[in-house]
Amino acid sequence: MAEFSRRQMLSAGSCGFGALAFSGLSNALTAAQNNSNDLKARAKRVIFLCMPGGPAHLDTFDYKPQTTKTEHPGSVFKFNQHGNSGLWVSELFPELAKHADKLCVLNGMYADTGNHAQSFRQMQTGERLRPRPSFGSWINYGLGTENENLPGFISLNAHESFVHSSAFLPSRYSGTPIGVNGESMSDATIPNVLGDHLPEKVKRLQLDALQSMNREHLSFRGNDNALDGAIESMELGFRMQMIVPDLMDISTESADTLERYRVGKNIKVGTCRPSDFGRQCLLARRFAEAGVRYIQVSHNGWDQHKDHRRDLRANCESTDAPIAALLGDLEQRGLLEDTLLVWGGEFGRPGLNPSDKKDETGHNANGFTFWLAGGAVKGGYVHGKTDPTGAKSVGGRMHFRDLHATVLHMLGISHENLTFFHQGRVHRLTGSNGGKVVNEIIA
Amino acid sequence: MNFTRIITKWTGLLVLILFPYELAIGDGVVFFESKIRPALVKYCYECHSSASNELGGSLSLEFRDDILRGGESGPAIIKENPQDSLLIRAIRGNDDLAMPPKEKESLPEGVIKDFVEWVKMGAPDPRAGKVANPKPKEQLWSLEPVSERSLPEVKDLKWPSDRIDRFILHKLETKKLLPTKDASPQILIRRLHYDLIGLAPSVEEINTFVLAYKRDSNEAVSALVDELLSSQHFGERWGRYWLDVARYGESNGNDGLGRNATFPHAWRFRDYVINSFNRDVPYDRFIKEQIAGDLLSVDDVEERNRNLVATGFLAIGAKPAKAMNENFAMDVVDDQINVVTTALLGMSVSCARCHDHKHDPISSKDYYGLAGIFKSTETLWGKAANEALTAPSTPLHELLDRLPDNQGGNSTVPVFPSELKEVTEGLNPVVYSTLKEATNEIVLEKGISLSDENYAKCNKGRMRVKTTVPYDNYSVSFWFRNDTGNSSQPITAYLFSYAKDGDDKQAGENIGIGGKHDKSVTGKLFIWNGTELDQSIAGSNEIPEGSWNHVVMVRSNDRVRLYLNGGKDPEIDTKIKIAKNPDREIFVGSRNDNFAPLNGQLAELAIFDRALSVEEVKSLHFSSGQRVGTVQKAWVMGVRDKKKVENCKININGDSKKLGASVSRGFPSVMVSDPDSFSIGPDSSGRLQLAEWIVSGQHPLTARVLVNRVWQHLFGKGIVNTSDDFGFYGSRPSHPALLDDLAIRFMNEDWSIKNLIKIIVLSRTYQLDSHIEDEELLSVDPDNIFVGRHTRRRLDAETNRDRILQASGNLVLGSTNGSAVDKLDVLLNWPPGEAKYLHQASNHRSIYLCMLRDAQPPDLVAFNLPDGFSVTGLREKTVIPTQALFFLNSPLVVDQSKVIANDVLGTGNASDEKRVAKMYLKVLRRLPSANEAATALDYIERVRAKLKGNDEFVRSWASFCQVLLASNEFRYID
Repeated sequence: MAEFSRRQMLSAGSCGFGALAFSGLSNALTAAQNNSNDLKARAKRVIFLCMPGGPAHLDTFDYKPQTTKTEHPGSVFKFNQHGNSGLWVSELFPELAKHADKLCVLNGMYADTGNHAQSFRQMQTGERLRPRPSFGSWINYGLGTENENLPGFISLNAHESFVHSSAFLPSRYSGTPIGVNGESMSDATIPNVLGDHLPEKVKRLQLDALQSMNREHLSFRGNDNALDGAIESMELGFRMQMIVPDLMDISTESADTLERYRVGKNIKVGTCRPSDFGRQCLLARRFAEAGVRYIQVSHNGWDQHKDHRRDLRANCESTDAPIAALLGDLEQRGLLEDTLLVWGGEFGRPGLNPSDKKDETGHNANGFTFWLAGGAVKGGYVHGKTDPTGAKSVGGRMHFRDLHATVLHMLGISHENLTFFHQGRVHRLTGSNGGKVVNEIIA
Repeated sequence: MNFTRIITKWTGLLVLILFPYELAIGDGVVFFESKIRPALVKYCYECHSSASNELGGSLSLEFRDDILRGGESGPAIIKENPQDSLLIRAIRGNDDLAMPPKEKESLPEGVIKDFVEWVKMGAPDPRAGKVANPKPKEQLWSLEPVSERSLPEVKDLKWPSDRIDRFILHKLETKKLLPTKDASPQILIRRLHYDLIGLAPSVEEINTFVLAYKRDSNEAVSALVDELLSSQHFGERWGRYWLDVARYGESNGNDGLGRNATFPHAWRFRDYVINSFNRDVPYDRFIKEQIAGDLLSVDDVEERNRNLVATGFLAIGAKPAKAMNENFAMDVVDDQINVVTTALLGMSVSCARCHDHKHDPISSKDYYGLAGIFKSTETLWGKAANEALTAPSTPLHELLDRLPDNQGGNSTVPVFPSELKEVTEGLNPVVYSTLKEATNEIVLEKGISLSDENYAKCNKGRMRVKTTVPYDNYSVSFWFRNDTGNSSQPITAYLFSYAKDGDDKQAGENIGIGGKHDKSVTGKLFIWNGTELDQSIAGSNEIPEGSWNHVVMVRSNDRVRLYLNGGKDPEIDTKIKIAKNPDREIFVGSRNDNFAPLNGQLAELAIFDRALSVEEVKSLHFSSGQRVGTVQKAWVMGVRDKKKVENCKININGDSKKLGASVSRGFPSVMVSDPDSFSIGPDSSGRLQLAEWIVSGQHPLTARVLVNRVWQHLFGKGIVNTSDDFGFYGSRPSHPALLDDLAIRFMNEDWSIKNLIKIIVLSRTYQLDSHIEDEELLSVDPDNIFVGRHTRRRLDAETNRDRILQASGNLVLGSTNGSAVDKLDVLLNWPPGEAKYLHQASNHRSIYLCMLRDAQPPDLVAFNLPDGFSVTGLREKTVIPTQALFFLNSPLVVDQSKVIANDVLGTGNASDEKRVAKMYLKVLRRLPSANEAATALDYIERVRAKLKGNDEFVRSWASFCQVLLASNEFRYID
């Protein structure tokens, strides 16, 4: 792939007016898609609260009380109704439950496979077998960044590199990872963004000296986009190091805020891994405020096969208050209306019998839960349902493809038109099967 | 309007026809995607797309048809006449059409040129329907046999120096272009060093070359090229390219369950590749070794070992977790098919796993024919950190000291020279036996058998020695081989016991090998004096199962020394009490009570009634003719044929549970010229035949793909742009005749890669300048497709780091002979955070850094390092801000700048001018101009003022050094 001039890149990003990367398919196809080119963006950015491992839908958001005389699999934790909407939320999310009226719960999710690797890949890229651009890269490609001093896509605590890989999309659309390979999330940052070997005023002198040398070098070499690009990239890197350390310095936040997010709190029980989810959520808010298009945060460890009750409780406790604080802050700052939050993992888990001593669960790809909040989604709303035991999605069924199509739709992008030509064919996030925009959940 | 309608209807066909020959569909669309779309998005869409509030001039630029239809002023482009196209006139801003409007940013000249170029190309634009029907009626160009090409005519007969130049000049002349001037010797020597060994020449080397070049340029270049090709660094440079296509990695990469198992032995494949390039192993041989090294006949053990290491090519791929993955076995096969076809043939057949290939002539049947070959192959990846969920544990190939004997097994019994017997007898043993045949002094109990070939085979038996020696003053020497796994039982084996027969307190002298009872001594020799005194001392070397070892124990009063394999220092040297036990006997091969007998072999037993001196012990080992030191077994990843060979059934939709028809093992039909000559017998997997088919010389792709890869590394771009895709949607060759001509020369010269490189770099084309003054050349050929000049290139990840270390003088040359993980069979990101500690500080060349998948070396990762998951013939060359951050803040750059600054400042009373000069010489390998030196000193002075009182002297100079290291002059090669 040929190189882009840094100038082109930057401004493509800084425009950020939406619908930028469209390439129409054949007109026939587009026409069939119900005027999908006339989309109005209802959200400007996405925060994906990624929960790898397969969160147990029946003990979090999909309430399945006992309905028959003989006990059947269902929820083993208590549920209560919350907010004006009376949305059912598990006792494991006491803080999040206070925001029940903001949540749009998708109980009819289903996936192709109960294999972690494949389903997770499909959730992140739309394709389960081969490397493809990630969801965030597609959105970054489609919308660009809002802030020319920052990347458009930041991925925190990803445990798979394809989460932030742009695959065949130009690599500037890839995510900038913070915290890979299980680095401690309490201090993970962008590599080399901090450098205290020189004070800022010297760094400015240094940049000037460097750029003047580079311009001199270029002047003897005539027209060269690559050299031009390197010069501009140096400027961006310089600006990033001036901005990112402050942006990531959460010590300026009030003690109350740090407490609300539970920054620094790490629970390590069974499958629940330390993720400092509070810091992640707080950083997500700050990145969102600064104009990053797509932010992914991640708390790993929902694959609680054994000790289901204990480990699930730990996972929920790790994430409950941070997410609630994030929702609260976004609302308070007026950002929730154009920020779309997505919560979920690669599949769900089969239910347990409440009075049974059995405490072990497996994978269930046939029915599980995602929730959305913010942007234009209906709050306090439930879409889709599973059967009485939670085993299978039976109404309002949504595949990852449909979720992707719907999220893009809310960003003002038709998933049919967000394409990239590679290896002889046009690629889309939603693949050749396409996805279905679920209009019912849009307010 | 007619034209537009035709376009709409016959899109694909027309796009193909409209394109110039060199720019087939792939290139045109790539050009659009890389140059035009971003510009449209940036400069035009705000007012000319569906995102606009109001469509400016009723012109939309969002779809191809929109552009062709145009707006109020008519069609936006005229393909036949780019300069008159409204779009071009507008963006040039020459007349009243000027766009973008004045208040917006105007288009840079480069972008305007891109648009002109694009319109000239026929305005390829994928934004309306699918492109050409991918079912070509004609044979794909790359599958036509490689054919002899006659030299094309050229007008300027003086210019060419090699055949290559004739092909290049011919094409340039037909385009009415002229090549630019030759590069200066200063540029040329840098380019050659960078291209051939990946390091910068020293200032002395530059000066010497420049002088030699002035005397006789041909002679000078030729001598330099020979020197560089014979450098050990050549393999380090070119081997890395091969590791890119071999998707090399030293860990599995995340398996989808968050586990990333190390590959402790993968580094041997790395070294194999480096050595193969240095030895200039013919490419056909190189391929055969990697696909079927285990099946080739060998002359010596080095060759055997090398061939087995080579098969690591098929075993080092990343695997998804085994857990809950029905398709695991086929995932491994798929990786192997992919690496073989993409790396060697430039055509992936992987899509055919699920369905017939959509565009290339590859069917599911072809795929499963190949799959049968790999399904009949056992892949040896090792323990995978003993995590069955990740991948079931497999054996590994063992590297040997000598070829195994014909009996099979790996019983490499040492061959002792007759000198051993002489030396041993010269030391006056009270008992001595080679253990080849029975003697009167030794009673063989059940389970012991002697033979000339195998000495004493011990199958849980015991030898009893009739003679006794003083408890406090004696020595014993013997050779043993243990076959019991070191961790399989509490004590692995007892080798020697001097105690009363059957005594359940074992009071006396006992020598054994530790087992799993105490993990700190597992596999190590120990000495123990029985349950009552209960003193046990262990050695430090783990004795590999199945290895032959020599032990000499010397008891001298209360001191015991135990020597292992003639090592300089005793393995055990300790005071240990002498157990009181009057009726002792000497037992060999077990303990006095028959506990934990040896399962293995014994040889050359000698017992002395005195303590041998250190010299005597040494002479015993030296005369055995065997190596000194513990034999550490070496293992390698690789493949071997399965015992049961089988065809593979088609997996419908790639699902191993939905099986279709069985397919005979074989090769893709479209690529087979003479199917019968490569028939696969019923008892062989077919790997050897596959390798022979690929390198037969008849295969249309093998040589072309390799020649193109080499060309690409030397010119920055291949004759075929898409070096891993010679299929329908890959690029077409810019110089097809040249490609074939080189392929034939390559095969005729014994597939020598060094020779091929030499031919190319000695051509006049390679030696052109990268700077052009001829604007015509630049505007007609902005991407340098016709190679009328050289392409400027950025240092790649490895070269960048190596040259920084080279500038500071800290680069350590030579191999690491191992890896940071060579003793770690672990999940490297479990517990979390572990992976980053594996990247130990190292000043070796970057190719030797530990290439963990999903946890790449921090100093390389920002510079488009391949991820090790897929075949990467052409690295991305994107410029991203994390690269800038690397130069601004990375510990490597900051630290080495300081090293250089200290070095420059340390030179006594040198003037600051001299210091600047020295810094320039170290980093940029040239002297600064007067102006540059003055600027530098001015900068350093100002920085020093700002840093006053804080180590300002060194830091100001270091900060300037950082400028030089971050400069484009350092990072780009002309």
